[in-house]
Amino acid sequence: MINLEVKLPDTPGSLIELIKPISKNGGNIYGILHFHDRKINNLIPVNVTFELNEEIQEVSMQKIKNELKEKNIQIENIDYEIEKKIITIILTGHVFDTDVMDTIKRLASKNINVLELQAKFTELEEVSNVKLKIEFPEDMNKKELNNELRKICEEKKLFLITS
Amino acid sequence: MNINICLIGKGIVGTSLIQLLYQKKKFFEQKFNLNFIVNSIFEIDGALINEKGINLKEVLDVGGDFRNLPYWRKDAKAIDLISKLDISICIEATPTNPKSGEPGLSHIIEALNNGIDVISSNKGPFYLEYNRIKNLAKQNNCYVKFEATVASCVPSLGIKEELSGNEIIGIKAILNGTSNFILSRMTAEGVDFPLALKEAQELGYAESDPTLDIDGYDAAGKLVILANELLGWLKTIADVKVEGISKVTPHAIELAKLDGYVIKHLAIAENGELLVEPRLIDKHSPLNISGTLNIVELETKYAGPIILMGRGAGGFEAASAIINDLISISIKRGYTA
Repeated sequence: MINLEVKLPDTPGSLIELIKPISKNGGNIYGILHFHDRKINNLIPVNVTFELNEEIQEVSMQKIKNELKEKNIQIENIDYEIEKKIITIILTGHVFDTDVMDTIKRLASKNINVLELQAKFTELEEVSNVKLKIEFPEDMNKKELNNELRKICEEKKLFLITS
Repeated sequence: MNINICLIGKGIVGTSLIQLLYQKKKFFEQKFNLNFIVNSIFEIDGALINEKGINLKEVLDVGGDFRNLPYWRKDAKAIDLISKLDISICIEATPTNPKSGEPGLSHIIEALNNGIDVISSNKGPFYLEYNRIKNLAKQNNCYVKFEATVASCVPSLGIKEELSGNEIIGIKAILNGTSNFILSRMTAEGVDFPLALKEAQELGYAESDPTLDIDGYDAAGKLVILANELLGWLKTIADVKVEGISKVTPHAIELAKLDGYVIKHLAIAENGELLVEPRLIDKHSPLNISGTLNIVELETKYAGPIILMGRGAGGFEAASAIINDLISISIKRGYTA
């Protein structure tokens, strides 16, 4: 997550000029805050929170900064809060027959929370494929996370693909 | 300067090497003042031996009938003759026995024990006995080079010297063209694993027994060599956690696509751990390569990722890597002066 603080002139259309480079470079905007009460010299502090593809974040952010500079939009501050706590995994096997609720609960007991679940089946007797979006604690590294996942998968004979 | 070399193994790589040595003879002489004299070519059932130098054109012209040449010595064994012939550099290009590393391992040890520099395209000895070979080379003041063992012509080991001012701290790679071809076909066409494997076999990208490729053992061996050479680890193939690709389903690939991922068979060295397993990677990642290509992404301490990519298999590809090693050793030995 990126938090960008700028000062925009209090004129119609200036917000669009701020948003254009962000969305053009793949930014997914989560929120915009205007601080009208802090207006000085016709400039309003504006705070935009957005997300960029992590793999190309640095390049995209540089492009956004350059484009804002070209538009004479003054950047006050940039906070990078890289969201590393959420990852996607895929389980293949008898995910439901081996009690998917038990899997989810056991993960939750280790503070690994399932945020989203999507599944694809062919037939009931066949293996299913389940995509989980999971959130894990900040103080847990990926190796520790994978160890927890592997423990359950080995026991339930599930094939694990992590990101 | 004349440099006597012996070649052990006259398969696809060995034959391609003979062709390159013949074709580039003038280039070696003019650019490096080097005249490589191949005085022995060993096969499993005998050897071509001519201490004055084998006529490479003659060997190439007769093709598979090389055993009819007058200097063919039936039942001659490399292991018996390495110490007796006048050899400066021994090139090991026999097929890999994945469990024992033989016969290549014994050839390499015999050469080093006799003070002969070694070049190998045979990876088995290095993922099984890396430390032993390197120590032996050091004790005997020999060079041992094996660029062709990992990603063939892609200079994934040689780059270490080019990055000597930096520090390599992690590796992510796709090191097996067969498994990458299969996953690429499954991703592009939605076909299942057995069909993609059949297609790979029909196109000659997979062996009739593709186990080593699809189970990840081949990539694991290459990863060990990369990690030992570039990260300074001392691992063997037994230290690699290996998971193959045969359980990857078209549905798993479809689910991955929903979140912008593709599934790739990655070889990973990080945090002291070696892994070969299917992983979800961002579809925009440079590691998302298609077909039979190999790619090595080196994470460096001072410059972020550095990426090398290219054809990871093939006779001339491997032979060109051997030639690079030949020139490199020749320069270090001062043969080019």
